[in-house]
Amino acid sequence: MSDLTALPDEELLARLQRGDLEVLGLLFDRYSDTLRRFCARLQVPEEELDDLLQTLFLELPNTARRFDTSRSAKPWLFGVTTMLVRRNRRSAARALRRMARWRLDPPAPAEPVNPERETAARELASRAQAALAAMSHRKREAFVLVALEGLSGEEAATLLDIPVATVWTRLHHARRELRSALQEEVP
Amino acid sequence: MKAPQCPRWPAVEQASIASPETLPDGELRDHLTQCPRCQQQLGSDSAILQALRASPPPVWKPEGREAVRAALTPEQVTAMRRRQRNRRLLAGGLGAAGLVALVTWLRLSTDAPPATRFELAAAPGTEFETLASGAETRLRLGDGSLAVHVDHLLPSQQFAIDLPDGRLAVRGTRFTVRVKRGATQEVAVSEGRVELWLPGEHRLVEAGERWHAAEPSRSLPPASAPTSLQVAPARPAIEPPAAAAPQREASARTAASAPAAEANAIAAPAALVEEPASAAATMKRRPAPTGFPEAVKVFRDGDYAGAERELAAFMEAHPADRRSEDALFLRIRALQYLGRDAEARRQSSQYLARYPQGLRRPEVEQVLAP
Repeated sequence: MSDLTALPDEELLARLQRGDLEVLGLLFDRYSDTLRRFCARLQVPEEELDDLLQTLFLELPNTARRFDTSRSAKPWLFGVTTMLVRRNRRSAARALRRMARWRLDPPAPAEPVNPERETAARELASRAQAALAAMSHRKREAFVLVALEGLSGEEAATLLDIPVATVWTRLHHARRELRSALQEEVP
Repeated sequence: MKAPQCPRWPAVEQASIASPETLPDGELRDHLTQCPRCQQQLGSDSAILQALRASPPPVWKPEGREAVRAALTPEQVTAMRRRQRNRRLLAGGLGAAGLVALVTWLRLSTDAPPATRFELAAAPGTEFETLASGAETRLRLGDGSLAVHVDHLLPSQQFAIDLPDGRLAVRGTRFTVRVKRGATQEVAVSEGRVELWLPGEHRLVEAGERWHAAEPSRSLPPASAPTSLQVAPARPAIEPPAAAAPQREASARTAASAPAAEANAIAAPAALVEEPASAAATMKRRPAPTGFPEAVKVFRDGDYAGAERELAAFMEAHPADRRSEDALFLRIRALQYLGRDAEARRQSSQYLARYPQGLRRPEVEQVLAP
């Protein structure tokens, strides 16, 4: 195991391609927090995060077959996660679950007032999250990948399968929307 | 009130599009250090980004992380693979079912089934008309011969011919039918099957069989029928010149034009090769020839002098008859075969004068050529 922990991500994915499932846990240790946060930024509901992450890693031995070992692992993992989030968004089962929840449960209570959130910074963060959630998922994907997760425009374009110019355009609109939504808080 | 945007802000934003914290280079950087409006805009973007980054990451449920990691077993991976395969199969099955449903719906939702496809060849002088076209095609044959080829019909399609004394229905076949003086004389089938209703008679005529009015029970052996009933190829029996007879639209002869004519080829070649010696022997003795069909028969028998006389008599008796053009042309041919070239040329001039757009014009012009 000690040998494996020293391996770079790309080599772990290459081993996974060859059917070595032992590296799966290692990849989970390295990326579960990052990808979970990424999913949350893409507005995956919190109660679905764990299931989504588990699905992501269970499917990884299959999806890893498409990984180009000459490329970087991190953007590729973000790409796989993005596709899974999209699929999850479209999932009829999820829609049914949500409908059932709406039917059976009382409306979700408003977020409890937390004195700490009264501070301007918390308020801004909360409003920024709301603005991010209100954004179209295409713009949000580009913005989260590039502005929040630090991928280059080219990497985002590759994993989203769109031209780089489209990434920039979506990013421009995302920033404008955020600015417009938060113009009171951030003059 | 908010200050107006700096005119250079788009360039600054473009330069820092990936992140507002990435300052542009060169001249834009100089501008940024001097422009408070751009600084403010960039600062706003940066503050929003920092606020988003500062948002706490989603918290794992107690032992949630360990639970998820513990589930990453080979068995679970195999189960996931199975689920993925099943999902693909289900998607494929649903796609195929959807396609079938779509095709079925399209077929059912079509207002009318597709038109029948058929080819028709009429012997000179044949009187027929299209009573109905489309999916249920109905023709009426008054007199003469039709050679018909009908593509295989769908259950929703029909093709029928009303005969003066009966009816004939087909289900994808190739056949000829001949009517004379209001009575069906002959039905010969070379492919498929024809159902024939006549007064006191209802029978199926199979491929290779021929029904004949003179001998209703007679069925010729399959080998002899098809060859004797084919539509004349390049060299019609009554048409010695090498040039094939030009085709004409059925509407010229039909009482109603057929909308389905685009899909169907209705042609009237010069003649049908018909009546082999054995069949002709079974025919009833005809009365003395008095009309165009009889003149054609005489011509076909090689009696060109008799044919010329009868064709001339026919044209004189029926100058307005629509078969006069054919009669005149055959008369020219008969005169040629008799060696009466001067008369043939005179008749050719008359033909061109009477029928300047005549279908036989090219052949007639050849007669007049030096």
